[in-house]
Amino acid sequence: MWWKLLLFFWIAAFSAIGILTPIAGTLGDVAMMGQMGSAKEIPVKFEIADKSTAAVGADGAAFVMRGIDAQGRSADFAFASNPSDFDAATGYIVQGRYDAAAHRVIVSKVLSTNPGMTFPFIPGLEERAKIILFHVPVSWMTVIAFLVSMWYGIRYLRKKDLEDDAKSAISAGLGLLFCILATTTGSVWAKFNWGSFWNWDPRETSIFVLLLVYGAYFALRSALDIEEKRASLSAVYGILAFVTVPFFIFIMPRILPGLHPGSADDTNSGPVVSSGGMNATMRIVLYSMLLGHIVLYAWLMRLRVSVTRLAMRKADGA
Amino acid sequence: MNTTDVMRSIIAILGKDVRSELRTRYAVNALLMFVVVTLSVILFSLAGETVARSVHAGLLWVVMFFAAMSGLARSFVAEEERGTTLTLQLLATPVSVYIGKLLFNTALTLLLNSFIVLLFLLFIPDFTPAQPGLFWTVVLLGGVAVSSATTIIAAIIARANTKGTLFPVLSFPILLPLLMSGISATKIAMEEQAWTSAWADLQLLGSYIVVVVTASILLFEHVWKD
Amino acid sequence: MYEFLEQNSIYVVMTIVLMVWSGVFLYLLRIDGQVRKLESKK
Repeated sequence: MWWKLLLFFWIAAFSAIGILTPIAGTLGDVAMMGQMGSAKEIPVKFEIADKSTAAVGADGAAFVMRGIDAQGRSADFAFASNPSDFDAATGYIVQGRYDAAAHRVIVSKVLSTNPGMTFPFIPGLEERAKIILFHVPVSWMTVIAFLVSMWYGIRYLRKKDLEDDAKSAISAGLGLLFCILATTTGSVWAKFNWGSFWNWDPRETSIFVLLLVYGAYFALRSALDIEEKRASLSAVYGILAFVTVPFFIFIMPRILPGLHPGSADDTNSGPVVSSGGMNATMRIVLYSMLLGHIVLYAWLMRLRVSVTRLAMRKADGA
Repeated sequence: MNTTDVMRSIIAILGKDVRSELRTRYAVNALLMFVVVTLSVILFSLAGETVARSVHAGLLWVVMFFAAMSGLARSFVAEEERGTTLTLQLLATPVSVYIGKLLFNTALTLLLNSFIVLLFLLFIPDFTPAQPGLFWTVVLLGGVAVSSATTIIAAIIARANTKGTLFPVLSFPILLPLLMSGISATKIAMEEQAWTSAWADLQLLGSYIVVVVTASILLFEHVWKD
Repeated sequence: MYEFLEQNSIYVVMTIVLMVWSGVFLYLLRIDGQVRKLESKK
């Protein structure tokens, strides 16, 4: 019982952390936005370097303080006026844009004072970057469920125990659920980020193929009446799909140019998890969500397996 | 059974299939007509318009895929229909049945693919591969790959209740990796690109055949014996 | 609606979270149905 409660609070807490943690960039990010000619203001996080030097600037209009960002670079931050909570502040997340000539960030709005954890700013993604915390665990579960399904398929072929076949089918069912969720969530997100629901990016193709495999697997199961026949044929098909389909999931998205991070033509963020785009906070939240989803999968699987086992026992007894 | 026995029964099964095919010409006639019909639909819809060469590569593979889908299930379904499955199960080892059927299907696919390419060359005026050597390599290697993947799927669906409709459903996801690299290699062969740019695709086709045939030999026993 | 989501992209992320949880809920409903069927079929 206790671990189910823990699971609930684990996923709820990390979802909340994922949604609430602010996105904040560094001086490098705000300078890059300025160089690209974008007038857009972005959130920047900094620590006040030396409080005593903060004063009304030489131009008389702005309250200027020197700030150091997470990478140790420093620049002046020009506020429109003295922020009311300045005495208690050690750092700020502000919204602003970079003025290269004066080497200062012109602040339009204070977003938060004394900020804690933040997620990195990724140009073009901003808040939408947080999808990685919810979409990626679901996508991983699709593959893990497929792996487990194949594993029980092999076990069935060795031991001819119908319970292994039931487990194989249940895992495939959960995989189908996660596959549909990964496809729809990705599709909704793509509409807002890439402009259309479906772009035939290599990773979209790979999830589509996985969806087809799951569909074909259940079509085959429903076409077979005799339990033993259904079990062995669907196990064979699962294994056959498993030896051919990984090409789509693991190789193709990395060798072909595409929109997802980690594609061949991706120069700015690279494989998101291993380098670049993410900071330690985001990585910890992502891995925690992954762990939570694995336990969630195991729980749903166990639940369904025990219900099916009861049904099988009842059918035998009758 | 030793190796020579297995070899002998493979050849016997292949010979039996070839002879029964030559006697009825069911598969060959139906498939050749299927190809002619499909190609005429394509010709009607193109109606003299010039299409990019890369589109031709796609069209060629569409015809080859559907021809395979309509013909290759035959070898196992026919055994079920004639009621000869049990005899084969008693007389031959699963491995020799699988390899015999695989060889027959491969021969059929290669024949079919060559026929399709010949018709394309004859009837579509701007269908001219810039690199004929590479082009034929891809078409023939692709044919072997298609037959190696579909043979075991044909064996699976022969045991299911809805024989015809399931075949493309089950085959398509398995065949997709090979279709994609086949199409991209054919595109390269149609245009004057460097021969080496198709190398990755050819390697992929080759390794696909090895992987699928190995997996099929290991798994076939479970499909074939109840 | 579309403009709102476009300007407040955190709601896009929240929609996605909601979708994931709806999916899990629907799955629980299916298990519930299975248990109910099992119970009524004495």
